Amino acid sequence: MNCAGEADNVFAEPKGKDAIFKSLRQKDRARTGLCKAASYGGTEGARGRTRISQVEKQRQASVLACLLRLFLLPDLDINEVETSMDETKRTPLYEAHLKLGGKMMAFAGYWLPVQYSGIIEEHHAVRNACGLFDVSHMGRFIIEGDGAAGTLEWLCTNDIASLPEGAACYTFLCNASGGVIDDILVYKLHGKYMLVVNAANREKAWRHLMDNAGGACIRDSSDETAQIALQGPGFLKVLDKLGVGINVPAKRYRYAGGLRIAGLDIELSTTGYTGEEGVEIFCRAGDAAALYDALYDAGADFGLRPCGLGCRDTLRMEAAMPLYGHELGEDISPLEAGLHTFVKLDKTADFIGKQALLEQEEKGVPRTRIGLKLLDRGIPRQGCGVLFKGNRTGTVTSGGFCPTLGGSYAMALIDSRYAEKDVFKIVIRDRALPAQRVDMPFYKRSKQPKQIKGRN
Amino acid sequence: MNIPNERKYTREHEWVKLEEGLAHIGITDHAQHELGDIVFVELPRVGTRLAAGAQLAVVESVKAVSEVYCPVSGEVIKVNAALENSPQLLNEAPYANPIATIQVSGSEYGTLLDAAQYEAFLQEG
Repeated sequence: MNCAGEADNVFAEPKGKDAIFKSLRQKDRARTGLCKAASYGGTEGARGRTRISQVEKQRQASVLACLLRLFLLPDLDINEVETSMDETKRTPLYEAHLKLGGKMMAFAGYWLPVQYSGIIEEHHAVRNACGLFDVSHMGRFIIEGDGAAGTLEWLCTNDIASLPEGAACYTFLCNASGGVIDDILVYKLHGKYMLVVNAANREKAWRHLMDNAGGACIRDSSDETAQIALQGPGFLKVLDKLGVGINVPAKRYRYAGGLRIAGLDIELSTTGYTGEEGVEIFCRAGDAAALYDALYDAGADFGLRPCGLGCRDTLRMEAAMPLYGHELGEDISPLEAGLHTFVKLDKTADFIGKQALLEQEEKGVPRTRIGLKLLDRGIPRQGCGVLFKGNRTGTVTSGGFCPTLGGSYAMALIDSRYAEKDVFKIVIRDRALPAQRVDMPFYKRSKQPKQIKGRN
Repeated sequence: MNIPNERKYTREHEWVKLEEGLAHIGITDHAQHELGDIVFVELPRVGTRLAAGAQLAVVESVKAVSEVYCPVSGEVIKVNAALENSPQLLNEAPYANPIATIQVSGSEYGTLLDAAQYEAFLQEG
């Protein structure tokens, strides 16, 4: 992978007209004065001459209006302005979703497909063949400069200092009381860091980073880039066909840059949110549709299906992966969620929330995340009460029908005094149904290679 | 969209087929399509008396929970027990799989939408 500014880097800082999309960020910088490396409004670069649609023009106008209002009304809350002026956005793959029959819904500010053919069918495709997800709505931030490593050490619960070059780690951004502001991935790439944050938390995470940036320079690459997840046991066959299979790192949570698919610059990482093997592929926003088509076409022989948010949720649920707003939140600590592995209380550096988390570790967490299998018919959902011997001991954080397992499962936060108990009840509407505590993840992929069949 | 003629419909996307004083009640093709993969049906108890508009059943798809209302007053005399183990039947053949059968005691049937009216309602969006 190359450094920022070089032409074939997906995350290179955009020039010319593209730069205006980031001007909301610029005003943040102007306010905080934390960034040294801003270079906006320069001459029109090669990629600046792309055609600009009406929507984008309107958006530019609204961005400018925001800037004007900010200078005129310095006390106005930036986020209010941004929210009130933003409508639901389209990812660079919006047209591709429509073409493939995606059923679109507004999610975290973006139009995204909830499903194409059906959630269960797409779910099975990812478990048995492979699936293609548009995850461009995720936020992608680049942090660089002298203070970058120190800033991330201070912000992240995981050990960023020990992160090898070209590797990624899952970590939390915590508040002072140990609650989770966001759960993110941090990649270390040639002295720079890339953060992939939840779409719904993008503004909040950005603010948190800016408030604690120190000497680091932070920029938001989300709008200039796209992210496509290719997940499932057949993923490598698809990439082999496109000539980049050999470049896929053998280890999970590793990154490879400087690659090309169908003549397009891409970078990829062995990460995902499905409990299967797979990659997430990064490209320039303008290349996303062509890349998506290339992946889709190459996948035809390997049973690849376009997949929506619906099966993304059922897949992560089976894998018992936490979802922000469910298993994690500002009032839920990562220790309560049972994610100790990603909280390095013994790392040398201090970090936000460390004191509170240390105290929790010493005294014991008040609540614990457990896995439950429903023994009766029904579908547990977030918010359902969890009973032990008739007494309310907790709440379901995520639940649903698990297609691979053929039953209903739930994750719940319960009073830690009951964490070792085995038999609970989940209250669904007016009925208390028996549930058995089971280990998480509910589904674990087999190490045996699977027979992959073609699409139709 | 499949909307058979010999039935009546509601704006909540239930269908009713009347046969000798018995009303078979299910959800429409449009409803199953909107819900997506149905994974659970909570059936009423046989013998339950329901007023028109009361909750008859709950249908859960992977992504959503949806209540099914009873379009006519009466008593539940039969439920489609096959839906307990095979809720996907509502996706596969919504008109061949009623959720329950009601011994009708009210006169609401006449006020329901016919196929053409229901189709027009769907097109209004």
